[in-house]
Amino acid sequence: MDAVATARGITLRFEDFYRTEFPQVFRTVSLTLGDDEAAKDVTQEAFKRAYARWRRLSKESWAGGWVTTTALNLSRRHRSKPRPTQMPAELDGEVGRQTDPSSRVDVSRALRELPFKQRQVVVLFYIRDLPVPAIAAAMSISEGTVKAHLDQGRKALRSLLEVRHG
Amino acid sequence: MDDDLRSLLVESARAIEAPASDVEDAIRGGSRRKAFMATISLMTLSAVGLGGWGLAASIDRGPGRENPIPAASSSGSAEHNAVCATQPRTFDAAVFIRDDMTTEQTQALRTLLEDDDGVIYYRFISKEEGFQRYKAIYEMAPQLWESLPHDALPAWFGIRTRTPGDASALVTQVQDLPGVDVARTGELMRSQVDEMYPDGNDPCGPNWIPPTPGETQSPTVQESNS
Repeated sequence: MDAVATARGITLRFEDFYRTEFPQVFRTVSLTLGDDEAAKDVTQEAFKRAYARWRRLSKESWAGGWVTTTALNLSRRHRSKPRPTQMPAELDGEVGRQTDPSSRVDVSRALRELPFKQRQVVVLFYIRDLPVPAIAAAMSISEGTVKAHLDQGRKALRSLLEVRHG
Repeated sequence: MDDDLRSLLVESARAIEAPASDVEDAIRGGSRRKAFMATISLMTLSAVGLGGWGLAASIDRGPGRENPIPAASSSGSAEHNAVCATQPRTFDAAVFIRDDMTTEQTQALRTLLEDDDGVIYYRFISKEEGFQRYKAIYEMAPQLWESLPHDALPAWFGIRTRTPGDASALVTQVQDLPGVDVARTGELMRSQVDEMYPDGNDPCGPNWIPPTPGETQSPTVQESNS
């Protein structure tokens, strides 16, 4: 296989990965960031970085977790300037069903109150459904640290959501 | 017990509508060169104007409590890990010292660190050692260091605390000591490093993947289609 064909094959495989992963990474980042526009920017940037490393990254089972982690890392720049709110003012403070906009905003706000590493671990575990070893690999931290962040994040998130929902 | 939390998070994420995005947006991003040049400017500015604390690094030759520091990146090479393990981002606090710090002032700082039960490890990185490590990290990008004098980066103490991330009290305690230029917590330094690398290309960051042979060594200048 010549170099052009090889490059084309790599690009095609990356396209499959992109189509599958982009919506999931975007949703995860958007939920944690509370800002769809910024979420799209950082998600695209994370995929740019993934593509630049695709020859190596494509061999890893945790590639999706890596892109998510990268996007979340990039999103840290936006921590200080989230949108004020994404729901109508009259809904603020109401208890909603799990998938309605007010619930989404509550979850988003609660996630943003977690320390950054806890937030990363929580979303990778619960939303991206990655096992602890894969999270450890994607974040370059130990499995013990992942478990500690997960335990603390789970408790904090539950507490935050219970307080909000009364 | 855990399922309700998972369900809430998953459903909240699913409720978000993902925008249309072409893969071309990701693989044809024309901003890489521009981002690289911006990064160079930021790094040079930082190294010269702000002291380069986020970039100084050293293989340990100095005194201090000798607890081995875990490598910064499990995916990196031994050399990369050795370099990055001594970056400020792997410490809970860093104390940058003034050029005119006296021996007595240095000793006073060391004594304070030795006597603090919350400090489990500290390491001194000289200006020259810091410069040499900085040069080693960015060997492939001589623009970043060839015009810098060897004493451009400050000497500093890297500190690990017993409770990771809990160094604010120590920083407050040492930052006004004679001879201390500035003291920073690891958390603050990490956020500032992230600001310096606007496209996330920190070579000692958690997501760095070492280049394969034949690839350009800089994650920033690495060209995907070469």
